[in-house]
Amino acid sequence: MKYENADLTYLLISYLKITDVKRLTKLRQLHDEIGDFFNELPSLKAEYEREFGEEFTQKTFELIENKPFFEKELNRYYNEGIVLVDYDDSRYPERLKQIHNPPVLLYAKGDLSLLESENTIGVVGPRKITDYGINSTKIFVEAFVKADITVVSGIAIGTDGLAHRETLRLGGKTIAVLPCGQNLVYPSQNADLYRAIAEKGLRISEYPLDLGVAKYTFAGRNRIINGLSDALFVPEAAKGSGTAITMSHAVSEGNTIYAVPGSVFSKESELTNEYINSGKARMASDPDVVLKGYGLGLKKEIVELTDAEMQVVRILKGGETHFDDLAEKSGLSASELLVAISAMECQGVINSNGNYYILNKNKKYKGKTK
Amino acid sequence: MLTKTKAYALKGLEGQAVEIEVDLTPGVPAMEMVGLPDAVVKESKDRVRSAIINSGFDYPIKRITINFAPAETKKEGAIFDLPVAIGILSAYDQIPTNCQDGYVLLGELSLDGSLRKINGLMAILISGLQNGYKKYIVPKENQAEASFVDGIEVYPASNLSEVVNHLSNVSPIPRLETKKFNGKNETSKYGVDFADVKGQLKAKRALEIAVAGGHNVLMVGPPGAGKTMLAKCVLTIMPDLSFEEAVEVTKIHSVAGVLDASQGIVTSRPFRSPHHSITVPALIGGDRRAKPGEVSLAHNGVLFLDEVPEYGRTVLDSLRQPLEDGVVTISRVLQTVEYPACFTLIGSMNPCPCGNYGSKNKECTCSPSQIRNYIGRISGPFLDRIDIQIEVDGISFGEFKDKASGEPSEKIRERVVKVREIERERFKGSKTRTNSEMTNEDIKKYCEVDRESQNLLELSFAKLGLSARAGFRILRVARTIADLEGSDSIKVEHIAEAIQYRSLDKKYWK
Repeated sequence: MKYENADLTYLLISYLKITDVKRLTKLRQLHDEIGDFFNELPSLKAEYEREFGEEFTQKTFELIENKPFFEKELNRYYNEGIVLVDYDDSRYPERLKQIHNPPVLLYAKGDLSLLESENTIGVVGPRKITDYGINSTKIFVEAFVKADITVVSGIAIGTDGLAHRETLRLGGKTIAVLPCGQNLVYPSQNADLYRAIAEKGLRISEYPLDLGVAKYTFAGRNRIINGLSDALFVPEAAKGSGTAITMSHAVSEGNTIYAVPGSVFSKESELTNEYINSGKARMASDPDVVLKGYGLGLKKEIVELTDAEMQVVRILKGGETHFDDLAEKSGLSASELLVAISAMECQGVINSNGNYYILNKNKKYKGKTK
Repeated sequence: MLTKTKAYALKGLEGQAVEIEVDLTPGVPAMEMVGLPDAVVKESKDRVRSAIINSGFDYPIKRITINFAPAETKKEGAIFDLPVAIGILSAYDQIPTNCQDGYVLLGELSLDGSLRKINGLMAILISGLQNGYKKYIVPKENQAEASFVDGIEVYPASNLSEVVNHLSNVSPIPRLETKKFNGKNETSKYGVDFADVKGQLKAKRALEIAVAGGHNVLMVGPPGAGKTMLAKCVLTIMPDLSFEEAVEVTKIHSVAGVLDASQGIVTSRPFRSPHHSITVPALIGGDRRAKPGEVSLAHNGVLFLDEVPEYGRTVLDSLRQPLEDGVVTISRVLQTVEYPACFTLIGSMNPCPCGNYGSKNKECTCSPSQIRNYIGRISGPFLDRIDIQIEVDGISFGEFKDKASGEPSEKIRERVVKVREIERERFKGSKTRTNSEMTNEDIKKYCEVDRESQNLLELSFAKLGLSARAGFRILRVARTIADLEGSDSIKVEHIAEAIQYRSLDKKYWK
C-alpha cells in the first residue's frame, strides 16, 4: 500500500474531530515532521497530556493502534480519485484560511488547480427560484465566466445547480462544495451534475467519504463557500431562508455581498432588497458592477442580427415583454416571431420565462450588413 | 311447428347474424332458451309474453323452445325481443307462416308491445349490408340512425302490431328514405371561436399546427389562463367530417349508447373531456361486455384531459397504445374486440399544485419537492408522445380590454384543411395519416433538412438542453409548419419555430 504519510496523519486527525485551527497548530508544533506522526507519537505522551488533557491523549493513542485501518481507509480515497488537501498543503487556498474556523482537511475530486483560482465568486440563492432569479443568475454567471472568475456554489437544487450548470455549459470554471462525503450524492436529482463537476470542475468536501447530510453539514458547507469566495452573489433571498443564514455569515466574515435588487412585491427579493438598503450588500444592478468590484471589465461581444431580430431587441431594451406584446409592437406574425426567438435564444441574446422574454445585457447588438 | 327468424348480435363494432329458431311442442307451458343467452336475453321471455298478450295476440299455451344459432357465441342484450316475439307468433300461426323470411328483425320490446331504441344499430346495418341482408325492421326511435345507410330497405316500426301488420301485408310500413349527410364544420355549432380569444398568439399558432398535423398538445399554465377555452376552440378549426369518418364515429357512439337518436349520425367531431377520476376501463374501453372507452368515443376528434397530473399514473400510461397505434384492443373472457382510437390529445395542467409557479402576480406556495412530484406524475414515455408543449398565461383585465381580437376560426380552418390535403397526398397507400404519425422511416423520407437546419438543431440541443428524442418530435412539427407555408422542403425557419414548442423540456423536465 502506497500513501503519503501526511495524508494518513490528517485522516487520523480528522477522526480526532479537531476542527479548531488553534488546536491543530498546537498539535503540529509538538511534532517535528507531521508525516512522522505515528512514529513520533509514543515519545510525546507527556506533552500531549499537558496540552490536550488525558482524555484526548488516550483517544489518540487508541487510534494509532489501528494504523492498518487508516491505511486501508486512505486507499479507498485514493481509489475514488480523491485528493486530500490538508491545512499545510501548498494547494490549500489562502482565502479559506482567513475564516475563523477553516477546515482542517479538504477532500477534493476534479481539477485541483481551481483551488488556486485568481478570482472566485460564491453564488447562493434559494432552492425554489423564480423566473426572475433564473434570468438574473444566467446573465451574471455568463459575465463571471467571460471574466474568468471561478464560480463557487453548493450543488443544491435551484440557484446552486443553475449556477453550476450554466458555468459548465459556457465552459467556465466551477467549484462545488458538497454537504456530504464524496461518495454520496445529495440531492439525487443532481447526480449528473456531480459527475460533470468531477470531470470538468472541482468537487470539495470537508466530510469523510461516506458521511451523509445533516443539518450541520449544510451550515459547514455554506461556511466553506463563503471562505472560498472573494465575494458572494445573491440573486434572490427570502427572509428566514437558508440563504439568509449564509448572507449574515458573510457579513460577519466581512465578505462582500452583491445582491440583485428585486420587485417590491416579491417575497423572494425581500432580503436582498433589505441588505442593499442597509448597506450590507452592494446592489448588483448590472454584471458590470460586480466585475468592476473585481477590477475587471466585460468586453461586450457584438452579435449581428437580422432586421426582424433587431426589431425584437429594440423592443426588449424597454424591459421584459410578453410574446403577444412583442408581436403587436413588432408587427411580426406569431410564426415569424418564434423563428426570430429561436435563433436569438440559441445565440444567447434573449432568455425566456414562460411567454415573457428578456434581453441579455452582456452583449451588443447590431444589424447585419448586407 | 318450427320457425326461423333472422336477427343480429353485436360483437365490438361488427354485427353478427343470429338465427332464432322457435319450436312449439305440446307439453307443460314453459319457455326454454338455448344457445348461450345472457341474463338480459333470458329475461326477454317475460317481456315477450306481455308484449304479445298486450298487443292483442294469443300466447301459445305450449312448451316453447328457442334456439339462438350459432350456438357457441354468447348472446347479449334485449335486441332479440322482437325476433323472438315474431318467431313465436309465426310458429303459433298468428301471422302467415314464414312471412318474416328475408327480414332482419331488431328491437327491444316494452310490456305494452311498443318497440324501444337499441344500441349499435349503425354497426349492425353496415355489417348486414356487407353480408347481403336487404330488409330490416327497426325501432322507430332508431330511424334517424338507419336513414344514413344506403343500399338497404329499412322499415321503422313503433310497436309489435305495426310489425305484424307489415309482415302480413295488412298495412305495410313505408320504406325509410335515406338522408344526405352534412358533416360541414361550422363554427356556430360550438359557441366558441378563436376570434374570441384575446392575445395568446403563441398558443393559437401552436394549436393551428397541432390540428393541421394531428399533433398532440400539452398546455401548461396557471388556473384561469384560458387553457380550456383554447382546447374547446380546437374543434372549430378541425376539417369537415367526411361521411366515412362520421360512420366510424357513429358506430362507436351507437354501440356505447351515447348517440343522439334524433340526429342519428354524428355530424361534428367529438370532443371528450373525461374527469380525472376516470378508471382505465372507462378510458380505454372494457367492462364485462368490452364497451368502447373514452379514447374510442374521441375517435376522429379531440380527447381533452384537464389537469393531466391529477389523472392516475396507470390511466395516463394506458393511453400509450392508442396514442401509438390509433386502435385499442380489448380482451375479455368472452371476446376480443378492437376499437379505433385516432384522436388528437390535448392536455392541460398547472405548473405546480397551487398553480401559481412562474406567475407574474401571484405567489406560489409550493415547495420545490412538491413541484417536482407534481410534474413527475407525468411519465417520460407519455410525454414523449406529445409533440407540442406550450405555456399559456393569463392576461390581466387591463390588458384584456386592449388586446385585439384574433383571426376567426374559419380562416384558420382553411389553412388546416389545405395541410390535411397535402398529408393525404403524401401518405397515400400507407398506414400513416398525419405528420404526427410519421414513422422513423417516413421522417427520413419526408423530413430531410439542410446543413443549416442541422446546425440549428444541434445548437438548440446544447443551448436549450433538449433531448435527442425531442429531435424527432421537432422534425414532425417542422414538417407541418413547412406544409402550412406550402413549402416542399423543411427550411431552417421551420425548425426554428418547431423548437419553440418544446418549452417544457427545457424548463421542467431537465
